Amino acid sequence: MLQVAGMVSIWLKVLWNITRKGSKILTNQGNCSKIFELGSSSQVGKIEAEKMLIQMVETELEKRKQQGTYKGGFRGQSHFFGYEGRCGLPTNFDSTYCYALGYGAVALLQSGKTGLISSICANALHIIF
Amino acid sequence: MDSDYGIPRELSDLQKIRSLYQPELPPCLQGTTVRVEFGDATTTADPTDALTISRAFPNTYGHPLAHFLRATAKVPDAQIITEFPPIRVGIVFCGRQSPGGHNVIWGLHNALKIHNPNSVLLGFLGGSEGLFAQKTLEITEDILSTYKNQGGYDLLGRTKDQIRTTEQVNAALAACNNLKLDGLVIIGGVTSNTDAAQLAETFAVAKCPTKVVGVPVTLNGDLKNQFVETNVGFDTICKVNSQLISNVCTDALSAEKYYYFIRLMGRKASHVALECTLQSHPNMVILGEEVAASKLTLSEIAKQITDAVQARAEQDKYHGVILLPEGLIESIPEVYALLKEIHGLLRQGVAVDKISSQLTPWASALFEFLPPFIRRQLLLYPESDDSAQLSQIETEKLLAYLVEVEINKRLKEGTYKGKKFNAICHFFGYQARGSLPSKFDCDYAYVLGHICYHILAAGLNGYMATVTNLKNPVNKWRCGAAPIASMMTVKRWSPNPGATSIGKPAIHPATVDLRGKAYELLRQKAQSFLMDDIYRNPGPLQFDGPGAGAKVITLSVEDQDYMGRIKKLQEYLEQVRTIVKPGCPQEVLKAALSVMASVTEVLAAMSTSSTNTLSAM
Repeated sequence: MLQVAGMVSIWLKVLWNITRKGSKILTNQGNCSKIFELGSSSQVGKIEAEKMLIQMVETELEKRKQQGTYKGGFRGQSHFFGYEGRCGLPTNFDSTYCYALGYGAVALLQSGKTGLISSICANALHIIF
Repeated sequence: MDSDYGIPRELSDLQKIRSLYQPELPPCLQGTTVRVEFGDATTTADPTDALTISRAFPNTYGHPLAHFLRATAKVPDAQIITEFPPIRVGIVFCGRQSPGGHNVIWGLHNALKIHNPNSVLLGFLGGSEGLFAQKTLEITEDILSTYKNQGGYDLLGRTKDQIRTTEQVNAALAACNNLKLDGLVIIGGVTSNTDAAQLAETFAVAKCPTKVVGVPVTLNGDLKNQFVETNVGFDTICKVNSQLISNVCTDALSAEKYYYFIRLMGRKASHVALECTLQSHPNMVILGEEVAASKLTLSEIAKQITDAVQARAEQDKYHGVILLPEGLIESIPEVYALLKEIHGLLRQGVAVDKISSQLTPWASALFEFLPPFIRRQLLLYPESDDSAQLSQIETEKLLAYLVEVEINKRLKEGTYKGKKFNAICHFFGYQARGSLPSKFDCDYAYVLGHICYHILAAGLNGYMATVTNLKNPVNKWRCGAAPIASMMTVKRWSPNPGATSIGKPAIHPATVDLRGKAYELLRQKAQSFLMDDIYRNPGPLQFDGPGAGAKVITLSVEDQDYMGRIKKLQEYLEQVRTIVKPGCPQEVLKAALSVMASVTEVLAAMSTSSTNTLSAM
């Protein structure tokens, strides 16, 4: 929640700056309203920050075009890389690493420990609070 | 900008290893003693189209099939080409980038150089616009070294994918004449190869010495006919997409609270969607061809999906994965008609913000019904092949929205009692088409490049390089060439009901065959896919070891090798001709006449029946 609150405050700052400049980006309610709909961290994946950034870049480039400092075109294509990556088959590294961490967890339990994290580094199993 | 094409690149370890892979050539293409055998003159799939096509392509229609054979092949009248003068060939990327395109260039360059080191291969920079502007890059081994077996089209680039207008055709003709090209190879899909056929005809009429050759490269998999079994790029795209889809399936199963609507790039036809469904086993796929055949409306599709969601909810399942081809939106009759009106107005120069007020009443009603984001996307200017900008239309969001509306309605009516419906939408397109090509696509493209050389060496114009028997290992592949005009059909349509008009011949995208084996396989498994969550993860694209040799299911499941069967038939006919000669016994002659009469009668009936079936569809 702290992370989300921090993110919201950042967006609010951005929006405040946009409002000061009278940017037309505010005419697009879809992206802005999504920010204020935040209720929990599970909604982070639905914030279309990439689309907001594309629109902001478009606005900035349009301004530069009018100023004569930019002459090309811009076409933004957005895609959120999230759901298709997080359930992939694990790499050898992740397979080996997690298997070893499982072993570490068992060692911790057998030692009667609690509130610890199992971790691995070269040649040793380290215990971290 | 142009200076970026063809530059050596810094490759990752994997890319370096892949650039060292040497595709195998089938026996018939090895060495410099390839023989060419000409089969019978070709005809069209639909006999009623033959006259129209022959009138449009008098110089390139009806030419014979070409088969390329190994030197030791026992064929009496095959031509052996013994002279290899140096030739100049141009090559151009048309159509969207598809994994494997670079290997066509490599194969062609390799074939040119082993037959005559003085031959020259010129790549046109920036696709068709580079052709018009005569911007070329001579292809060398050094330049190719970092592009072998690599994805994308950045060796030469591509721009607007069209060689069609009089101005464009004249520019192409001027380029070929000025550069003294003996051949022009066009790499692309259905639209680009249609343009290639027209260009070949124009060159023939103009007595231009440049021969035009087409290569079937398109990720859509829709350049499919009797002569072309599959396209370069299709294998890779389906494997990469299937990995992503199956990851999402596992994600859905893990959280059990989201429905994922995934739209797949593949243009009008649903080949990619069908193949990915067979590879990854998502819960549902809506094929554009089914929608068109059943004339489903937007509401009916949404209802179909909602019924599926409800059926799963009754088993306490609130997750799922639904695949949608990007061409789906154009398969919905009322949306298609709306798009036609919008595109008509756009071409008349009507401003975007004025279009909605100029639509017919029913089109206007549908337009107003649609959410604002879809309206904006439907107003985009059409693609160079005259279809909507399918990659930009978020059909998946539209359907997710409509399903949500329907479920909320059922909640109020009390007919749906499950949990809240949550949808997440994806478009899988751009990230797959830039992939490193699969082993199959590397092999297939390289072999096609070699075939292009042999087409030019045989002096053929308006032909497409073909390989059949692809589901078998490379050493069993049959290499040949077919006139592009023989792959064309004539679509008959009319803006006015009752009036009849004849369309222009073209290679139209092959639709998913709803009577084919691949579709039948889907129908058999559809209910199990829907309810049982038998998701299948094929994992990342494999370049070596187990999995590297996997072929797409829609290729493996079909009985193809059309070219092989044509040859077999010719062999039988030749045997009959040998056995039944003047002076043979009376009994033999009578038997032959009887059998041939029966066969002819059956084939004629089948041909007529086939025509009627096509007309009915």
